[in-house]
Amino acid sequence: MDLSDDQIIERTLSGETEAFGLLVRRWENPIYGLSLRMLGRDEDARDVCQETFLAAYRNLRKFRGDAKFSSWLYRIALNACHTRLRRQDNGFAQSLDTEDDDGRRVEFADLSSESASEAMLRDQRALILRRALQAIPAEMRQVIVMKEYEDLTFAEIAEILQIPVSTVKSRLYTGLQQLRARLDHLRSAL
Amino acid sequence: MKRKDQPRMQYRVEGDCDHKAALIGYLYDEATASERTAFELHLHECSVCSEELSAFRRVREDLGSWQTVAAPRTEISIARSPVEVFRELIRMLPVWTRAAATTAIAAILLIIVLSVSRAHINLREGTITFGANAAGSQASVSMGAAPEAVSLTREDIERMIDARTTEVRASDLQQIEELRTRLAGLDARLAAADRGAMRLRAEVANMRAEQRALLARGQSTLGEWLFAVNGSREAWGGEDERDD
Ligand SMILES: [Zn+2]
Repeated sequence: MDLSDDQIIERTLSGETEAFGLLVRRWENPIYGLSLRMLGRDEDARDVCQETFLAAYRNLRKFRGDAKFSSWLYRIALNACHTRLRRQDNGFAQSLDTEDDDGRRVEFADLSSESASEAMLRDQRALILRRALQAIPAEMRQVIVMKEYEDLTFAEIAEILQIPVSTVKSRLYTGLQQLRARLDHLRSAL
Repeated sequence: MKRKDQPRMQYRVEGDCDHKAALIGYLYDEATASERTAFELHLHECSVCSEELSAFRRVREDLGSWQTVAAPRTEISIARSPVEVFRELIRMLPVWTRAAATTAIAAILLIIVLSVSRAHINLREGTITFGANAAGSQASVSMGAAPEAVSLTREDIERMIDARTTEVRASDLQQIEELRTRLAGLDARLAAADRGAMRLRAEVANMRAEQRALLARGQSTLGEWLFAVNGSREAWGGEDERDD
């Protein structure tokens, strides 16, 4: 029987600190995925992941179970992402201009089962998508990432960002529109 | 490749439709059955929404092309905060008190150790160094891998020890109370047993007296018999002498 997040937190707070490791294992994939798609770089995503769990651990006593633990964790991670994005300020222009963003973080799943040209096409598509996603404002990107990759509901996203559901929807709409424009632009530039 | 170009197509669709929220709910399958039906009806008559919907579906397909590998194992050197380590240490106090005469002495020893010297205490998870700050009365506590040392003031430490000592003392008092109750119970049982023993002793005394009385009577009977026998012997002897 799996312990709930709240049970693990309780144990951690009562001195069984090793229990926190369970929360890390449970949530590191979603947090890493979120950070990677927000920032576009593996190292940054790892750093944010680490920062997030450290911050969560240090502030665990401040976490009151009125929200879901995962929502709280996502919020910490997004804050860390935004801090980084602000620091590298014109980072998005860079990511668009830098040719040697070598795409090594793009996964080539099961290359043997498809031809090299198919793989190349797929890789190219993913690369364009990544660039387009990095190009739209972080405010829109975070909503798209949470909806598309983290599979969260509108209500969950609203809780994480502490905004109304209607705002989540309108940001998704605007984000998708901008993403579409970026994608078309990048494709035409090839 | 002309990457510095700004996007040319803006998709600011003329005749902007106010069904955006409904479209998003429909696109992500978070609409109720009636909302779905209503939006599907709307799609038949709104080219803006139907065009947008299929464009968004293509964007979503593109989004699906970015798959990531599983996260690299997150290594965080959290272990425990110094305060927590310290609490754990304090929790060990009752064990220490077995060696020390009282918790008060153990507490005083600990404070002395923390404020005067550098104590290296080994817990399960590595070495914890309690180093005294030469400048003042602050005992700073730092932990192996943790990059930032959190400081505990001496007051903090004393407060923790006080709390723990009070706790231990309370449990001691409770144990004493329990022992007192058990002792009182035993005393009562002993008193009852004493009364029983007295009764038995009296009974034994009675029986002994009875026995003595019986024996005395038996002895007198024997004496009488012996006397009677002796008498007859004398009589016989008299006869013998008479026969000689
Ligand atoms: Zn419409």
